[in-house]
Amino acid sequence: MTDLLAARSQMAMSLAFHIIFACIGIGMPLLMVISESLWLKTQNKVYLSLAKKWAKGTAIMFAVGAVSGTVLSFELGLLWPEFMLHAGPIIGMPFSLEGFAFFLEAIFLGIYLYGWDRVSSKMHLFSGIMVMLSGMFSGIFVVMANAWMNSPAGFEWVNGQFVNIDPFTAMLNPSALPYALHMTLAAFVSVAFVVAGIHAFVLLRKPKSEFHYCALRIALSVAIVTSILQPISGDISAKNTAKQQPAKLAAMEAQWETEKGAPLRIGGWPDVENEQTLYAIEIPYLLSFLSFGTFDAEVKGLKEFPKEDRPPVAVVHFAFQIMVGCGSFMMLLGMIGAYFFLRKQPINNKVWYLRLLVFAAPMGFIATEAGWTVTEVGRQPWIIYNIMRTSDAVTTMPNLVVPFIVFTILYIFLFVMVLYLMRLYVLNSYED
Amino acid sequence: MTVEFLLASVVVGSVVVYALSGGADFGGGAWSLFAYGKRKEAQRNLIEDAIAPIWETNHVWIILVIVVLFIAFPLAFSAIATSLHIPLTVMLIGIVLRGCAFIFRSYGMKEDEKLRSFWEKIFGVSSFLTPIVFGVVVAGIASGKLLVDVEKRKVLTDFVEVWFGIFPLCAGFFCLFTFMFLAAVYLTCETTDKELQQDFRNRALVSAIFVDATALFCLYLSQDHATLFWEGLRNSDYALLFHGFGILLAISIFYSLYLKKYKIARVLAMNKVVCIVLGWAVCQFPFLVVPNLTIYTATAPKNVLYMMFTIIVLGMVVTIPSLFYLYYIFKKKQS
Repeated sequence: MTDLLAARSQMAMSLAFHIIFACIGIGMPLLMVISESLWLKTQNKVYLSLAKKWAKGTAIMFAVGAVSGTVLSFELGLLWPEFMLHAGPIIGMPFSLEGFAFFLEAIFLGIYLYGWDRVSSKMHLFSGIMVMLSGMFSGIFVVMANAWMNSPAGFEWVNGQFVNIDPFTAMLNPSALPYALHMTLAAFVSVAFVVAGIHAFVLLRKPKSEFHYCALRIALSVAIVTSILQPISGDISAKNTAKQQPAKLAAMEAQWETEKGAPLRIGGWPDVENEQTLYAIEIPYLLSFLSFGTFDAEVKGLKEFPKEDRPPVAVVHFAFQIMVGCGSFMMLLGMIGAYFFLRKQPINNKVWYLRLLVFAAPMGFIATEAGWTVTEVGRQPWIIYNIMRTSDAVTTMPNLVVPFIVFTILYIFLFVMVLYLMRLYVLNSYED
Repeated sequence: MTVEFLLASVVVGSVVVYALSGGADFGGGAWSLFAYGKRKEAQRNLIEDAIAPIWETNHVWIILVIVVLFIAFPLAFSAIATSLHIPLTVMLIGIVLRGCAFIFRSYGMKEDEKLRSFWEKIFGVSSFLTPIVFGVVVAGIASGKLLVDVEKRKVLTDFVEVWFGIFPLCAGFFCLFTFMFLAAVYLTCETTDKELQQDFRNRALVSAIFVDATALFCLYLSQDHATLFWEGLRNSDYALLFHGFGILLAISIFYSLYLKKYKIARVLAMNKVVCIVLGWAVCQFPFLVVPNLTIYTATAPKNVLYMMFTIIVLGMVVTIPSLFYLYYIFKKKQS
């Protein structure tokens, strides 16, 4: 394993691990806040105990998220010092804002988790809202910095130096808002489906449980709204990618030839050797339409780019298919749920729907990981798109395979531990 | 007063607050490893209750340090991250294990006593080892061995020589003992149980001796192993002032602990740690990384520095009152 590959693997693994806990840190507070407001409004104790259960269950996620996020902020320098040397000041604005968002999140989280008996109920609810907002903004700022790597802006590139740096333009780069929107919604979708799945699982065994039915209704209402909005934000993201990173779009769609009226491919096997995509179902003209809004728009193919500037096609294409597949399935479930809600039909006796929700529980996170893979692998071979190559940014430190293996073992161990503890926790609450 | 100086002050200030808050959390964790006697469980519970609501907030100060470094002083950041890669990686593993172990062990493991004591141990060991690595990293930065070619923006030293040696190791233990001392003094004020107070008073007294001994040894070693740092100490009036004040504080801390005036001891101990960090900062001023990078070398463009400082001021306006509120809620019962 080369040092570059080890560094990339370590970064990818750290992000894949952190993104789960970061999403939970964004999504769970919303569910808790909804439940707590319902308690304050209806004085139904079930909502209070639900908020408390969720809060305790989430404490572990916040802690793992906080420390794994710390690892990432160091790894930027440990693995990519050349990148940080140049990019640090340019993307400094979102990162400084993120620092304070994280501060507020940690402060109000402490009050929220441990202050049930120490502050008034209004203050407690306010703390929950602060945790949710600061967690959300924290994520948005980090994604904005990442968006800059994909569509760098706010500087002039003169003789290999960044000059005339404008931090505002850099932060509000063309991809910033599409990415932030898509990722924030992804966090809510992922969390809402996992929570809905868990409570649906218990409801299948204890259909009369008011506790789990309330929990399911709250999680499902968030799932419905966000899973239906997410494809719209995906469309915005795709159009942005078509404009900003045509090579990434071509890899996502395994589009080799530049053509007008390009088809949308479902499935298919990218044959990199012969530069063609086999066995795909092609829907004529749809890619052109989805990318540019007209059926005969020209979509650039991978052949347009020199081989050394192309991202790994197969990974990006498959990851994209997985993301879209999961996203579509969740949207479908969301629409069915919306139908039940609008018709005011109870769902605790709809066994088939509850089963589907259990089946879909991990799908949000699978889609999030896949989408993240599309963004990051699709950006390769660049660390700053069209400016700096990933291979030029890596540290001079040798034997990077060692920290990669150490962190991988550590994270797998922690992940298994979290799953084990969550299982204990959910089973315990199932007993109650 | 330049904006570079202001941002460097933010770094030093954050390190001070981190040492006072996050450092004490690590020190507390280390004491849970050394809990013994009749009140073993009571000691551990006291430590856990003291840390639980605030440790994540305290932890953010180190993030702030990192963020200011990589935005305002990118060359210093990448030089540190390159030549101190190994200790920083170890430190991260320590931070991850400490945080996870702390939350895991208080988690639905009543049924599984073995697993609980496993994480208890991990929590204690990682709390004990991580501060040593902190000290090693800081000593490496101050040692004068981290050479950087500023023109070519390249690190000239290898990946071991900067931090591997007797001076960084001694500084590591100094850091650990300082955090443990601070935690022991805080813990005397966290309980009204006389016996528990007594336990931590004894620990505070013992660790105070270790702090002062390693401090003197570090200064002695710095003559040979961190010469520019030593020069800074000898030639700066401020440095002598901070160190002199530190000695006065050390004596009065012993006296107040002897008299069981815990709240006074707490204020004095905090001041002592402030003196230690500021004394160190003044010794290596104006160097950020001794001996090639001052706070004016290869900084980010001015407009970025102003932007950053503005965000910090605005951020603090929101954060500081919230922070006080957090501490007011969870620490008022004792005072």
